Amino acid sequence: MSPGLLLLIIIIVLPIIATIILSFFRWKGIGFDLNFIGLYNYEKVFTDPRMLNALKNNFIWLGLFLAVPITVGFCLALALNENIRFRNLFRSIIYYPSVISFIALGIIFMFIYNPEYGLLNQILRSLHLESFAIKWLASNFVIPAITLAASWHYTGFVMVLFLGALQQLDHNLLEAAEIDGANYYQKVLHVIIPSIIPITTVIVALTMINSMRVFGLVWIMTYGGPANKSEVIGILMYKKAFESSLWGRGSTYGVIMLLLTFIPAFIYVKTMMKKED
Amino acid sequence: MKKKNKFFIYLVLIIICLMILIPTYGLFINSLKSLKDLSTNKWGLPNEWEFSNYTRVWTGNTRDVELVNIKPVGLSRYFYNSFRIAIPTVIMVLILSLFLAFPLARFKIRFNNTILAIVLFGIAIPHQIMFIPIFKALDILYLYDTIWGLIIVYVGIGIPFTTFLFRNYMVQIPMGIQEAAYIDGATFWQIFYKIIVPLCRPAIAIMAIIQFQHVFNEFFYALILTNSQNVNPLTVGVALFSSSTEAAEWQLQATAAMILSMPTLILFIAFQKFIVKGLTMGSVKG
Repeated sequence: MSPGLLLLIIIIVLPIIATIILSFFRWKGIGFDLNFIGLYNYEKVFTDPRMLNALKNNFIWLGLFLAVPITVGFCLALALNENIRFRNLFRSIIYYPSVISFIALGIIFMFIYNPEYGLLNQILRSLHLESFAIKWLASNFVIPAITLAASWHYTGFVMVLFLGALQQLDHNLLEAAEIDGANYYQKVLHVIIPSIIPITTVIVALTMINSMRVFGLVWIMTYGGPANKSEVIGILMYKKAFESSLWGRGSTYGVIMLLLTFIPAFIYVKTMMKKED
Repeated sequence: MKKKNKFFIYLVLIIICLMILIPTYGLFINSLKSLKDLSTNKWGLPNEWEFSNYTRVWTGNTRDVELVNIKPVGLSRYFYNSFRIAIPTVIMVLILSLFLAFPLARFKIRFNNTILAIVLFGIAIPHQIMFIPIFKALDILYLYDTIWGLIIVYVGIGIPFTTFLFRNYMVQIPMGIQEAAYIDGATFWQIFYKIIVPLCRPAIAIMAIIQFQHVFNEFFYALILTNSQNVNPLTVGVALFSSSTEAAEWQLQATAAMILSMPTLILFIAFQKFIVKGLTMGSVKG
């Protein structure tokens, strides 16, 4: 058992500790020339307008991710829980975007958002809403646009998790509610939703974590542009370390991402451990 | 179930499926158009089915002007790299996770809950935060920009989730089998190798597929830890291709994205039931 524990500590615990320690140093990345500078990195990070913009973007992402994929995923899971024809086909179609990598995903949606040829603007123009046919990936709506692409990818995943939970529901409870005269909506509200609180907690925690760690999709679609407008913490972390050679600062961003995801991770671990009983 | 309600359900499902299928159709269509066709035809079927798009992107002959002394690198090299990385990773993750999950699931150890908590924490934490220590560690070990460097990192990232799922699966195996074997004098390793592992075959298949998808689609560490054409995986290759073609012939980007999506898509179509089952088996990140 000890080799397994040792492996886990090396993989998970050590790098995190190393990141935290490195965030207190100035380091150009070459060799081991480390200057201890205390909280200087943190000062610089929290007063940097790019950082505040990135934080804002991540939280917008979080809000949209909590609103769209979770509600749509839940409704789709309810729909797929019923006995309808082509169930497996629907489920496969809805889930399949989750197996597409973010790079391909970015390319798919860059085609859709293209100002001249893109599907979105074409639809808007045919509805005589030309004034809405803007350069999406260069506008103030860039983060919602990218988040929509990510939702396309994420909803299937959420739906499958909800569906798994729905299929394990206690049928007796539902029957009892039916006998008591509950209609469909009452059943959903008072029986189903309370029963799936654990999985919903897990999904919300994972969503919070996933909103903070986005990188690939933003990288390919806008690289944080235009003019750093669509930067997220992950992108900033990368840029500071690799473009500006500020490796201590890059570690600071890592620590911040850790702090932002620590509470959801903790909630996730607690909920999953509780399920073990 | 009232007829009216069923109709409504079908309607919602069909609308959502259309929203999913239309971008897919767009990608597929645009990957087979010529540039002129793309600008004029936009979202209809291609006028001429340019299969040459695929050969050009695959072999790298995408420029009309041949640059002397610079051999074009097509996606074929990156495609090959991705498999060179993914297959050893999956094998190693499966083996190590089985070793880790077995004691966790079948024996009462003092640190059971601690280890389980660390494993779950490893699943939840965004692995990108550790990129600087990992980068430097690989650099010191001369593993930067090598296939094995990436493999080691991916194995580290993949172990927590795989271990957790194997553990969940193993817990459901009746203790009776194990106790009977123990009474018959089987050793720890014999129980592991001859009883538990064969019983876990469905779980192993599922996790192999899921891990392969994760590794094949990964971008962050692929970008950071590789530099040369011999090592860059396909995600990085397509990303580089995408940022180089710029305004030139961007229907080829669709072709590149199609090539990138093919393996995981084919795996998915072939093994859908497994993949969906694997996700619900433990309800964790997919």
